[in-house]
Amino acid sequence: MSRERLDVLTSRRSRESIWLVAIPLVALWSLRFGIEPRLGVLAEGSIFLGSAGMVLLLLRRRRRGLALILAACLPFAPLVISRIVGSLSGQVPALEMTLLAMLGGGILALAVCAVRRREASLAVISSGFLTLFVTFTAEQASAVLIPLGWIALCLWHLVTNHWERLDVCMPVNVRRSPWIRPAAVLGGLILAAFGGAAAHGRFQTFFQGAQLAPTSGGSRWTEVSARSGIGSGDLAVAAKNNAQSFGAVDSDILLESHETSLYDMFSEVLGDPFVNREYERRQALQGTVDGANHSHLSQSDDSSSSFSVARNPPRSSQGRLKNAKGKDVLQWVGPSGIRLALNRYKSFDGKQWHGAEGAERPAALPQHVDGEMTWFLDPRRPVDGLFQGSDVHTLRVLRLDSARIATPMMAAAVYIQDVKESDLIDLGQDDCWYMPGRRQVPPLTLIHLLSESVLEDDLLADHAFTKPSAASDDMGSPPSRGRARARSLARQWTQQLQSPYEKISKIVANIQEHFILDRTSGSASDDPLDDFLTTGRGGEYLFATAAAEMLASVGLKSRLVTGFYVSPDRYDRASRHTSILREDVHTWVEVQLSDGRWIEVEASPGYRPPNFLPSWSLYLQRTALAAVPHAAILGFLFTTLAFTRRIWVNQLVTLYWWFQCRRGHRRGLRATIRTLEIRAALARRPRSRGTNPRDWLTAVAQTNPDLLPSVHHFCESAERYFFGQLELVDDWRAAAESLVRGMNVSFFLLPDPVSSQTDRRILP
Amino acid sequence: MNPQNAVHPVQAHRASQLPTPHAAASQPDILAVLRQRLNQVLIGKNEPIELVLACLLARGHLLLDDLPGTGKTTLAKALAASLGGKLARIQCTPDLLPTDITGFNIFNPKSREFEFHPGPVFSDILLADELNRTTPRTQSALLEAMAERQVTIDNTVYTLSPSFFVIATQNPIDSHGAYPLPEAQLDRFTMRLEIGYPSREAQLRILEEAIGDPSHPASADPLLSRDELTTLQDRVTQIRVHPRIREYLVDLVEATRNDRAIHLGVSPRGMLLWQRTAQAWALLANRDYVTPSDLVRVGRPVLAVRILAAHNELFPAIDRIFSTVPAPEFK
Repeated sequence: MSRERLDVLTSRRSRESIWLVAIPLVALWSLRFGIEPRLGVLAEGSIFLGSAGMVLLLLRRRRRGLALILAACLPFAPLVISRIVGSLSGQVPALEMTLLAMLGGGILALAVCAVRRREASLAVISSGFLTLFVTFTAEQASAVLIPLGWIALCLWHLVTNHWERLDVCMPVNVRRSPWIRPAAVLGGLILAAFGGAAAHGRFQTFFQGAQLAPTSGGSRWTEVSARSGIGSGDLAVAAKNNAQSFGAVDSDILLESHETSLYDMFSEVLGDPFVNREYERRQALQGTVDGANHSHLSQSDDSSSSFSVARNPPRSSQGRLKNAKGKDVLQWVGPSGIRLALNRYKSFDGKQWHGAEGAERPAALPQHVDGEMTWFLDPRRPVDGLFQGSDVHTLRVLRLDSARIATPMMAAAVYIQDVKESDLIDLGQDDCWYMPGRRQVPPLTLIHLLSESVLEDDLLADHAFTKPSAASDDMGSPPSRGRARARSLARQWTQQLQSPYEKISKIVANIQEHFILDRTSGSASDDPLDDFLTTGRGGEYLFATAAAEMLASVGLKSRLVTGFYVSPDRYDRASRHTSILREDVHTWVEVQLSDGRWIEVEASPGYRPPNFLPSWSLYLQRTALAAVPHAAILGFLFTTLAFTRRIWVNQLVTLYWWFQCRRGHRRGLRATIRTLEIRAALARRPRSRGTNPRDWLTAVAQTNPDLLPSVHHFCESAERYFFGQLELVDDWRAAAESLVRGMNVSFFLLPDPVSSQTDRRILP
Repeated sequence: MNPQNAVHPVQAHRASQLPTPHAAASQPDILAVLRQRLNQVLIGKNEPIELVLACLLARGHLLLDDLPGTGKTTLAKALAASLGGKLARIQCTPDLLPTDITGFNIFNPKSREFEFHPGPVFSDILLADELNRTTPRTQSALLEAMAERQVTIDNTVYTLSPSFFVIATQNPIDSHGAYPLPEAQLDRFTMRLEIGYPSREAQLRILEEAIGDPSHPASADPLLSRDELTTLQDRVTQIRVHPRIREYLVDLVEATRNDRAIHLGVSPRGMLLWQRTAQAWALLANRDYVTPSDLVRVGRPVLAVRILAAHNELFPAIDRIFSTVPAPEFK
């Protein structure tokens, strides 16, 4: 390479540019590791690292063409891996993550293959953008370390390669100034810290006093609330912020929206419950919202007394909810694809689910004070270790007319800022959190929820689940035909299974396979479950009901849960929360574990199942077991190919040579020598790097001296063309063909009659 | 196959590696005749003769490490006769003075002037036997003449023959009382060769040809004039060297400087001589371009004279360099 070109193997600039690209890539994989299938992330990282290493190795061996080809494939690897992972696990990685990884692959390929300074500089600049994108994607506060680390290394790189120009200076011209680089890095970090503080409003007074902050949208102009606020952005932001203080809104403007109850949402989305009583029918047919009647109707569900699975088909969007402004009922800051429970029902009479009845909890909920946070705890959960290994997420209540708090699976603690009084938050008999004595949770209230996690290993144990008590839940009435059919189906599907977890999985899989989710269908009969089993279609509540019955029939204690589904499609990237709308009402099942906790069971198709992560040992064991047949097939295939490589590789290279000979002198000559080299390599007699082709061919041809003239003719032609830069005539083809025909793989296996070393010595 | 015509595989392989004239019409016939004449004089030494010719065409000088009676003087005489030039021979002894080589001014009482008596360096081919037996001062006088092709005597510069060619010998066996040439001086030689004993077949031929007329007349007709030789030497400089060949050469040279067993690698002067010798080798093969093989063929004797390594590690080091430095590919 000429001196003005970079050598990635020795150039400091190239090495540092590769390190700068590696920072956002490693950060991206770290972010994705806990969210996406681990195997896919590991595979992608391994492929990136292996490919980069292979490219460097090829460059070291001066096979730049092959290195460029491999580098060009690198950006497409994440796309291929995401498709493979999606087909294997059913979880397709988010497209934006795949695109980021593809961008990172392209930048890495550019950094590794850069031969000019501008290419290395372009890679550095691109890595900066990638770092920004990755940082914006992350939700953790610690993600700020990613750009800070990149800034520090980039400043070091810039000062070294542009200020001091160490790579081009003669040693005598290098001015020793050890303070420049650390000072530049420190200055950059201070500037970054200053910028971060300014972004968090530390200098708000200064900016306001200097009239530097725009007034539209308030002083916090980046707030989403300010952009979509009603009237003055400042007031909307204040309303949002002050919601943390338990709903007291320091604002003259009230949000003009109707809070809707869960009952109303179910009625709109899934249809009104089929009622027989005249009074209730009259109420249900009213087209406008009557405050008192609305309250009465909502209370009928709000008090968790019952949930009917006999519902009329939903009507078109008219009636009481048409005047509701806004869309978000709730906003969830946490993982999507989960469920938030509002009501739980323990018994089913064939038509309606009924909730738990009983006296209220005698004692107040225990509290745990952590600094300024006062957590209300589930009294059944031990405090020790509760806050390790658990997840804390945030719920913002906007337009839900309910005193209940929507909680995720295994919610064990609740915290609302400034709420410390023990009578403000309670846990009902149905294990639902609520605010006693209040009609509704105040709008804009921010609620922090701590939920426990459970490993899949724990679910696989034989005694992981609680068996139902002997007492029947049929409320004294014989089971309906639908229930009997459901139980029969369950026993039929699970007769070969022993593990409860396997039974759950089997039942869910069969329900999703044999029935169709249809929200528009309704059943006003006396046995909606039987109609569901007969027609094969119905809403989520029927899927859940069927699943609950089936699970109970195989010895698992189950209950119905209503609430909301946090849809991944409603994630708002700008505000980093997931919007929960009216149509996200959902119904699912919970099954009780032996320790008293309940886990979710998603019976409806099209919804993400609950995520029970396996432990590392189980994951590896399962992966290994799943891979055994594939590994066996691949191993057999590779072994066969390896043992027969001399045959098929020889045929392939011969075909390659034939094709290349028709593409011109250069390709034909090159293909001829490459064909012979590959054959020699197959015969484990590779040409050493230091032996030029003529000497090598001449030495090899000693086995069959009849080939020497062809060797001489071919080498003359090749040297004339490549080193003499002279025109060729086509007579070289005959010599090349003679060599290709005569020097097959078995030819190279013959012993050499002459040692190549003794020929070349002039002196003893 | 006729056993009498059978060729040993080694010889056949070596023969295939010698620069083979493509067609007599395209190559100066004179070189072919010269080659043939020298082969008649020195039987069975095709490759050393070829290297000697390459050294001559490259305007270099030759150092022969050889045993007595192997044909050094015979070769020098035949070469001098073929070139129509003057052959001078000096036997280097410890009492040899520099003026014995370069010449001296002596006062002529008749003309009452100093007359210059040229020394042996004022010949076309100078055979300096056992150069390592003379003093360093005398060695330096010869080496200065080799490098600059001129001598300065009493502030007068005398230019040597443009075809001035030195064949110096060293006796590897009798090293008693020797003054080994320092590396800086050895670097002025283009290559170091050993003719060695002839093969059995060659010895039989020598004996056969000696029967009958013992004074086998070597042809005294010169084949090349000075001008023709100069033309050929100028033509050598025009032989093309592809950039990849140059890079290969530089890689080889740098490898000699970085090898663990080599204390002193090839100098830039040595690198130039190496390239020039490879060009001469290409000309002998009737080519106007240098190939990697040319560098390898002439590389051993070129490296042997200027690399400083332990005695038993020189040739393994050379082999290692040639086997590890990647050769240019056909692409």
